[in-house]
Amino acid sequence: MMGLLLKSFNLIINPAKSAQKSTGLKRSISCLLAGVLCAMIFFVFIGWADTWETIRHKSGNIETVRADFLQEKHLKILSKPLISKGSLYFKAPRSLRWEYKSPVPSVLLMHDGKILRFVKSGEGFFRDSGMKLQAMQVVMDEITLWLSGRFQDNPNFNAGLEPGPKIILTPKENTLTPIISRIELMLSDRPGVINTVTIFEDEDSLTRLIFKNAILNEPLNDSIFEEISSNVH
Amino acid sequence: MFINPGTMTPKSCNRLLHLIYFFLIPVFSTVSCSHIPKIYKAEFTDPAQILERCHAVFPDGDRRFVHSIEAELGGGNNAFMLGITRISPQNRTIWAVVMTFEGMVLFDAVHNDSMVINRAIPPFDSDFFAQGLMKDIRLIFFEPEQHPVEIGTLLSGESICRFHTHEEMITDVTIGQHSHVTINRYHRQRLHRSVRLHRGETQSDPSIFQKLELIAHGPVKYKMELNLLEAEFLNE
Repeated sequence: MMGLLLKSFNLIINPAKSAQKSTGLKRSISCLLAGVLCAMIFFVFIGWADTWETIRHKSGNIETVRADFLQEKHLKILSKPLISKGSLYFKAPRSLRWEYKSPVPSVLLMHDGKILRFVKSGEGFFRDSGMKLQAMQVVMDEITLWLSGRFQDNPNFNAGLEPGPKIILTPKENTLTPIISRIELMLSDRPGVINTVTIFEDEDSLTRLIFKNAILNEPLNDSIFEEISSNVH
Repeated sequence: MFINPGTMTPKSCNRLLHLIYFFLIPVFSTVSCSHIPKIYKAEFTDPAQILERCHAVFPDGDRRFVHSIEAELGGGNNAFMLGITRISPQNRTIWAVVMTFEGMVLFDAVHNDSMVINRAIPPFDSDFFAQGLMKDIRLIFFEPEQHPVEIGTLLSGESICRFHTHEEMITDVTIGQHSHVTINRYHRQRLHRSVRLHRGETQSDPSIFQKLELIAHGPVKYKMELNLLEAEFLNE
């Protein structure tokens, strides 16, 4: 029965137990997490551009980002998209707060080499220890790469720039293709800001992120990335 | 009898361990391995009414549910995700999707007589996981196909319908106070799964529950708590 779910989580929680068996799995999950989260984040950063050179130039000036987002999950099983809403905060070089306000409040914090996730359950927030959050380190590596404008050097995705302006990312490795088939980014007219990101898993499943109220280079206190300012159990 | 630790020899220590083994462990085993409760004749309620209430626990038409899922995995580890379930009781078909809050689909499969896996990302890609997930969903949402073998009340006064679902498998549906429902499945006389269903205060449909708790007993223990985010009627 669901016993395997337990085992599956144990694979994630305790990779040492089944290191050989789960190496490929962990890589897949890491790539998946990295791909989706990086996509979500980096679209706000890299923003407006006609050429890779412009992107490199513009993205180099971004120190902090704050934005609200609306996430649409389109699936064949759903008659209407599943909507999530939240906010993100980023501070160079490696601090991130990715916060969902609905339907399930949760906060992902990455700061000073630590990665924590808290999910609201009942009266307070509980730490999510089920996912192997160390995989998120990959995300930070990717963000650092992109912030320097070198996302053509991305080891996981080929990047293409199209009129729109639109950026299309396609996986370099076949192992990633069953997880993410492509990612499309619609850039805003405002330099450094992205309007939408669409992550295609397959023909029947996509995640669209619509960003708004983006504020660049606003001073952000480190406490935003260190704590969630709510009861934690 | 009192034992002074300062005067204990290795031999007396062994005796103490034997005492613990022979007395305490069976006590804990008795507590942890709940057995099938006795059903009494309902004195104040018509069995037909009890059966009707048991029927009402399970959806009678196609439904789609979105739940947030919290899994307690032991050792203080908790995992969180989203679950989308589309059920069709008439043809006993389940379509289940498990995904992260970020929208990553980890598992997508349809099951009726056979299993069709549309997507399964490691470590959710084993047939064993898929079969187990579908069995748990079936227990929660589908009324047992067999007629009840007993209808009555428990010693505590709760109404109960008992189904012999398979050989050596018994499913009890218990209606408690405030319409809280418990579904217990016993395998070889021992509690195998228990599901506690709590209705929301504003929920008018008796087959829609705001909160579900599934506990797996036996050698591999886990607990899943599902909170309803969306419920949709599909064919009414």
